[in-house]
Amino acid sequence: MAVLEATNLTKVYGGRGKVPTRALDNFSLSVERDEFVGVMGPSGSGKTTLLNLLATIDKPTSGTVKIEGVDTARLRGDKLARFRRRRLGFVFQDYNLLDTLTIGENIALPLVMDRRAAAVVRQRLSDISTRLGIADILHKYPYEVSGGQQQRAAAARAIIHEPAILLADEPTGNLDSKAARELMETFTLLNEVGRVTIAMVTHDPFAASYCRRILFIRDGRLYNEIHRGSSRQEFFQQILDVLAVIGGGDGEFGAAGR
Amino acid sequence: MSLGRLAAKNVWQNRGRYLAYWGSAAFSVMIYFLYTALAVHPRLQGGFAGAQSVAEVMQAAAVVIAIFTLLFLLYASAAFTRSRMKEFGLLSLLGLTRGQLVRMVVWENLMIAVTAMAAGIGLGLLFLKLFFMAISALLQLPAQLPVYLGWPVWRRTLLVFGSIFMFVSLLSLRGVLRRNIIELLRAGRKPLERPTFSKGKALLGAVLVGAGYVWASVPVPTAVVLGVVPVTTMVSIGTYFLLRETSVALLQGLRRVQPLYGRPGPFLTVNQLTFKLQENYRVLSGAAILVAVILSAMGTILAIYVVAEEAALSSAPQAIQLELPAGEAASEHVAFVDATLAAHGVDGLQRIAMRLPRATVENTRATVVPYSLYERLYRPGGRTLRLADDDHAVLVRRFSGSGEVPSEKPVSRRAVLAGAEYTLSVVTDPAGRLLNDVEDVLVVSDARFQQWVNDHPDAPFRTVAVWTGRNWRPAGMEAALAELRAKYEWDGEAQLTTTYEIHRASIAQFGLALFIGLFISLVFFAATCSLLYFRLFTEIDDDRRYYTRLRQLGLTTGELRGLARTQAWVLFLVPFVVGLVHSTFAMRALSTLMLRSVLLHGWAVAAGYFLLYGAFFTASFALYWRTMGLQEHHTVPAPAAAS
Repeated sequence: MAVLEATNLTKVYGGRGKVPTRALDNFSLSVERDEFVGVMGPSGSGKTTLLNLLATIDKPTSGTVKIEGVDTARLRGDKLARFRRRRLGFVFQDYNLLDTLTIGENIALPLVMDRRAAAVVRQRLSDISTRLGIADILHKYPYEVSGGQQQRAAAARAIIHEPAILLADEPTGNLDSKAARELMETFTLLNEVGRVTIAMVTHDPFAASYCRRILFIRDGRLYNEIHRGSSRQEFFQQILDVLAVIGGGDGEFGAAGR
Repeated sequence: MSLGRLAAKNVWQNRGRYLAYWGSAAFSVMIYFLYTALAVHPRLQGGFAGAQSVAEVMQAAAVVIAIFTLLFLLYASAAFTRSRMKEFGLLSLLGLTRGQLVRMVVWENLMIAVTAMAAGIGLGLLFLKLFFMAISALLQLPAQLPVYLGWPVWRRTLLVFGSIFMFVSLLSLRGVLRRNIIELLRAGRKPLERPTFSKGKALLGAVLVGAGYVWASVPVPTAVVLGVVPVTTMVSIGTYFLLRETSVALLQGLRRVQPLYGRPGPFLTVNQLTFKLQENYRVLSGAAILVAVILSAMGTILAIYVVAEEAALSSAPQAIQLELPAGEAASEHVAFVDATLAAHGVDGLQRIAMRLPRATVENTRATVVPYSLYERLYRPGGRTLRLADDDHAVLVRRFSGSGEVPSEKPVSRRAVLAGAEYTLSVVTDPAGRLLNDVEDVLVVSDARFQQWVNDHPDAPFRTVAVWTGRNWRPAGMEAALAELRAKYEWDGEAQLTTTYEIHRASIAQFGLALFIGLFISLVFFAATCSLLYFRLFTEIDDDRRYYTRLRQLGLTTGELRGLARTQAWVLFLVPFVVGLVHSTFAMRALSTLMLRSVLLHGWAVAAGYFLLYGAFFTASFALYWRTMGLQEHHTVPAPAAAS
């Protein structure tokens, strides 16, 4: 069963006097349970627009987003916020941890917001932090640990409430190559062992090579879709090939070799 | 775009933050302008008795305001520059030279300074006439001061505030120029400090504040007077230490209260507040001291007003009393007073005119009054004692609480009237004077009074007319008294005494101090509010980031607003509560000096202050939340800038 089903999404910016920009044009996407899907594309291709629509923090001009069968367009205001808080998990490029909470409190936040019992919170927190290798930094504040650790904490926060899907927006964007590798290995572990469904937007081919399937998006439309075979190295090469064709003339993929 | 245009744009873009800065600067300019106009007024240079002292006190008050404004602007400008470091860094990075940066900052400061001074002086001009009228009335000046706007007023105001603004802007420039681009870019985000608790500092703070409180509570007037400076210093320093340590300790303690801490609101608020209090304890303790000063000053003013009224009423309980020389007929005078009162529309007083014999009670002179009169004469707080029979009497003492134990039980006393001796069972009434003069009053039954008057026509008699009533200052009283006083002079044969005039004299004695206290309190109030407003707006960028993140995690706009409101409210309340506690001890000390409790007056002032403060909070929070711009749901900044 599809956890996430986006059908014919179109998003037009501007209008009323301005020249309208079609950021997304009839784009459809379906993510099955336990999948690890990547979305790639050059700047301005509509990646972030797509993720914002999936994350329900923006509304499509037309088309629907269904998460676990719920049409998110039918939810409004507070209901939508609550739905987002219970059923979605987010990892952002700049970690988005709250500076005034310790790492442990940051991770526990989604459960606290749902008023879960203290014992449950403690149990889950200890499970997840052990699994992600951050159990020894729980009492520290975000600015006291490295970017890689912050991003793993953000990942832990994104899944502690067992969301339907984990949405990641350029999660390796601010990390060095070692931290990026560790994070992607964490994602893989979560996906394969923890059975977490993940949808990730990135323009980093290395990070993308950890996905099971990648959608390429260009000018708001689906350009190509590739599936990973057995070897991640091969998949990485495949990604580079597609990107070379999409090109787009910008130097965005210059850093591809790491 | 020229630098001037860029500067103007910057000011306009940051108007939410500049508003408090600009507003309190303009307000201070106005007050300084008014005070200076009075301090250099030619009529106060020896025009009448005490004129010079009015000018000197005003001068001192103006200096206090100037110094205070300087300190406030220094703080505000430093905080403001810090919050804009990143912007300056970015402009430098884009190639703005140092010279251009300096010119831009100077332009901005110049715009603020010129407009604030113009607005302040404009307001000053607007209120000048009113201010002079108020001060002439309050100080009972012989003639109303004419409006004076000589060159010295302008020169001083422009010079003093021009230099203050210049100095402040130079210092803020120094902060920018001392840093290189990287430091500027980084200075925007201050690193957070891990919450720490220092037992030593907490103890020091507690000891200082505690000792100050104990000293202020010593019930010895001399100790209180000697303590003013040391206690204020001790409590101010103590607050500085104690505020930070107690708030950190308290909030860390709250984290351990699982049922509370496990809820989303407290969970986020406690954590956020821990940092905010730790970062802002200097501003908050400063604001707390200011609040304490305001509440104590206003409480004192109120207490003095109330006490002055009570004192006037206890020395002259009858609104108007006219005593005529022996042998003169009362009717003509009474008719004149009645006509004068009626001409000025004075209403609500009951007139009683009587001939009262004088006796001695145990060798002390006393006016004899019939019981029916005793009942009819108004006396604040006085209860009327009963007479059992014609052999009983009430002795109303001329001083209340004169150390004499009031006897509820009748005591046998010897009264002498025109040589004749009587023995009466006398009860003492200690509730204060009955008539407006320093003489005891012997109240006897109406029957005995009539009998005495009949039996002793040769006894010394007083001819007294009183206009009695609860309201001793009805409309028209002032004008009516002015006319009466022209006829019955202070040292004339007929003696006119009024509650109104005694009250006015005692207010006039404190008038200047009260007036200055009021105006300095106003300046401090404006400063406290803008300090807190400023703090709110300095952190708005950090706060926006914080709330945006929370929103991405699925908090509703309503929940975010609630969180923001609670936090802002706590940071507004802390200085108020601390200031209130401080001022309560100050009022306790004042109670010692005034020999009566004035705590209630202090609290009444605090309640009024709280209303104003709450209104100010509501307005500034609304502005803050609007500036934060989180309310429209779908204009969220995208989570990531790239792709």
